[in-house]
Amino acid sequence: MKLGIRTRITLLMAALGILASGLTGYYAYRSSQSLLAEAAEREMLTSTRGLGRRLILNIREAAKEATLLAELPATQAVADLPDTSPHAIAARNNLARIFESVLAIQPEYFQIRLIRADRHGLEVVRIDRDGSDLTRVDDAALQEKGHFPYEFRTLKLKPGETYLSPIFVNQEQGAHTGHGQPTLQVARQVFASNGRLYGLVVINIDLNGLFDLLKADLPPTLKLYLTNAQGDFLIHPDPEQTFGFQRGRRILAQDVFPPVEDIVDGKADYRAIALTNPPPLRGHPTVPTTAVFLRQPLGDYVSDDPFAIVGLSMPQREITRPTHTLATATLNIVFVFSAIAFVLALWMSRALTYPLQLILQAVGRVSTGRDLGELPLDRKDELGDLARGVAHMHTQIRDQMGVLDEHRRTLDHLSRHDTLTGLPNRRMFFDVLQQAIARAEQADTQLAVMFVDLDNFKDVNDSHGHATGDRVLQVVAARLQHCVRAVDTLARLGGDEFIILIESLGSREPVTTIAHKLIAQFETPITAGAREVLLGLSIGISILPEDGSDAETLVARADEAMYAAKMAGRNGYRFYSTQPASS
Amino acid sequence: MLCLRISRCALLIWIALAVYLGMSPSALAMETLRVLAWPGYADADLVKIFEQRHGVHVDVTLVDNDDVLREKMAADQGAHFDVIAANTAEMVHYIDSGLIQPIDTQNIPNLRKQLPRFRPLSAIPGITRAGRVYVIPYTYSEMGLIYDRRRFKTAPSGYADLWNPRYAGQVLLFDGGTHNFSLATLALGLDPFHIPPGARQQVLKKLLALRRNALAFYKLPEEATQLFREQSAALLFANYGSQQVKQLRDAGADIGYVVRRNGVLAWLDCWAVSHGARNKALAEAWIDYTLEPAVSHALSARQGLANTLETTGATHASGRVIWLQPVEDDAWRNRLWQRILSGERESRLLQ
Repeated sequence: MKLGIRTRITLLMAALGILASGLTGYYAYRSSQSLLAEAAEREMLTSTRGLGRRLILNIREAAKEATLLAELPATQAVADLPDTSPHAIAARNNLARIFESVLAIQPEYFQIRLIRADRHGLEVVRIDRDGSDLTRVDDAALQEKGHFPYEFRTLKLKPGETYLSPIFVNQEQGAHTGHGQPTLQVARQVFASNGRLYGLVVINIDLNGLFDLLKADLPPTLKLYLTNAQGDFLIHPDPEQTFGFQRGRRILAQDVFPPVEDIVDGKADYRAIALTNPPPLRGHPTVPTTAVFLRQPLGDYVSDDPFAIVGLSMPQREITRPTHTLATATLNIVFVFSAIAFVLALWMSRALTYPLQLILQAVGRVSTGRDLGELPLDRKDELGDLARGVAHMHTQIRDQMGVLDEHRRTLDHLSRHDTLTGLPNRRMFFDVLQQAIARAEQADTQLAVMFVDLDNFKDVNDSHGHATGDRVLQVVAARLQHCVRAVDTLARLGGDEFIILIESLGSREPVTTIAHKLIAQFETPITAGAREVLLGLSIGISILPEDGSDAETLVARADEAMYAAKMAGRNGYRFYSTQPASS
Repeated sequence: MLCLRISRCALLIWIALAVYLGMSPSALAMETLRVLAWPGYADADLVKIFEQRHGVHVDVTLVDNDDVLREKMAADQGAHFDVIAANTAEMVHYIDSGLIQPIDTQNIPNLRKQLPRFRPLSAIPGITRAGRVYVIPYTYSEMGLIYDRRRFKTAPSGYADLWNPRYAGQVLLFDGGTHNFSLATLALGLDPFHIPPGARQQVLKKLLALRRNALAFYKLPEEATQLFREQSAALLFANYGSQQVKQLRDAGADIGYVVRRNGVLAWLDCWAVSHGARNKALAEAWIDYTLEPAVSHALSARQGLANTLETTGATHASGRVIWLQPVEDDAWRNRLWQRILSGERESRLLQ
């Protein structure tokens, strides 16, 4: 299919317009998406930092509390009194009341205990949280804890140090509310007043309670994770995924969020992770998710887990949700601008091609010889230049054509007339004669050819010069013309020879009349300049159809008859058919 | 002329049909062997050799704990798998539930290459039932004792040293009720898997003594390695066997590993053919294939697990291996174990 310039320009410009607005819209959408993603990551990082800070603040507070409790005179009293002392029980009761009041004001503590170093780590005073109540565990139910790391590790601390346990699920039987719950312990050594190491004070912190408080500030779409320094999940949206190591099976954050490995290895403090294609693991994100994990040092304590990793995740569709509105708006804008671009393209291509079409039509009219018609001559731009150029070219061509026509007409005249006398020349005469023969044959009429020759003209030339001769010939022509009818044709064959065609003859009478008139015309001398010349005529006549049926024969016969007339004594005429055959 | 052409056409069609039918078993519907096993038991390269040899496709499903394995086998009476791997104690459960079927040992000629301790199969509990072989031993691991060579002039004599007051607070034990009850019972000279009701108090006392002698109880090998080194433990009950020996040696510990005298507990993983197997002979061919020296050796070399064809350095020739068996009451053992671990004292525990 052949596409016109207008269609092509329309298509091209519309395509350009749509492409430009489409690309602008697309990149605006994309960049706003990545801006949102970055903003979400920043926000999540800030949130994880906040969570981490709250965590260490709570740990610090618990550590201070443990230190305070370990150094209380009431604690020392228990340490100082031998088991057999009558005051020992009162001292323990007193300490138990203090533990209870601390638990009462610290809802995130599960348990506070005083444990002795000897007797396999037997508990001495133990207060457990039991639902909304606090329970003091009675003597018979007190347990031996010597085989737990928090016991033997605390006992090995240097003075002034605090032990911080790894986060674990407390599976110690009889721990009341704290049983089966994620727990963090802080412990401090207890000394008797004589400096003897008596045992330790341990506070169990409720990790879930702590994080439930922290989570309350987070939007519900955010999922909270906590892992230990090795990456084992401690808090996870799916509780099944936590504390796998206590069931003999490790469930590691780096298996789900591989970049967490860098934090575990100490190569990075935090990682923002975009899981576009999450591995199909039960309980883990199944939709594209963005997560931020942050290494959170837990403080200056003796611990197997020097830091925890706090993480937050959010489905990416939640992050990019605002861009849906943006996408709709962008699409609308793109659509409107595309439509505008299309209309503009139509209008522009019309504005551009209409003058071109006018010029094209004008050029078409030039070739058919008509007028140019309407042209955008007033435009000030290139199209105006083109129109003016076309108009100028048209004027030039028209003028040139006029000159050429004139020349052609002149040349045509020249080729058919005698320049000296203005009479038709031999060529034209023959044309006229042939047409006349055809007409005469059709109308069954006669015609006559009169061959006229000037007698003694050579003498005029010789004695008076060619200029005079020419002048004479002009006069001769005028006189001959005078004698013939308007319908007859007088021509000069060359030199002093003239020829006359007389048509529509019924008889020879008119011819004879004309011949006499001609001869009579030359009875008066011809004035040429200062001279007078007297010339005679010899006339030979041939008649169609008697003397021939074609132009050449008729002229040749008239010539012969003229010659005969000349021979017969000049200044006379003779018909070909009446001359003697012998001559 | 026309007749001849038709008969020729018919002949071509018959030939094409014959070729098609001849090819169909291998080319058009390749048979699949469905293996349910543990990581390292069916490595891709070894599977490929089997596939090429038998012109079948092997579909391996891996599990990493007994519960998941039970779950998978429970679905549709084991119809989703042809051959499975599990320890002898678990296999007893599968035999009881009718989820596995007897094996034709004639189809497993490589059985002859197994160590004497695996012969006759009827001598190993949990392998046969009513004179029919249900499972074929494949790999095992002894739970020996790891000791600090700087503390022991001679290697510990056996599990009894876990109670030795000389090492009080320096003994690392596994936090697992079933095994610890077996250990205590074995130390009392009783059948470790069947505690008679009358002996329960005795066993509990033994366990309390064990707790009081212990430094700590670990769950994971990494945990044990860390405690062993940081707390200068003397003795370690290696629940994970040679894997822990390797881990400790890699960590630079100067340790010895001992398995002897009064016997050593060991778990034994075996192959079995599922009740729902589609091609029993192919399943047996797979089992026979894993008992080829190259395949069994690859298991040991790659996983550090003992195979049934070669002796390991750790296992003393005279060592009596006590293969794990289902115990009399798993729930009771674990319930009590939780109380012992929590630190309950004798007075309360024996109430």
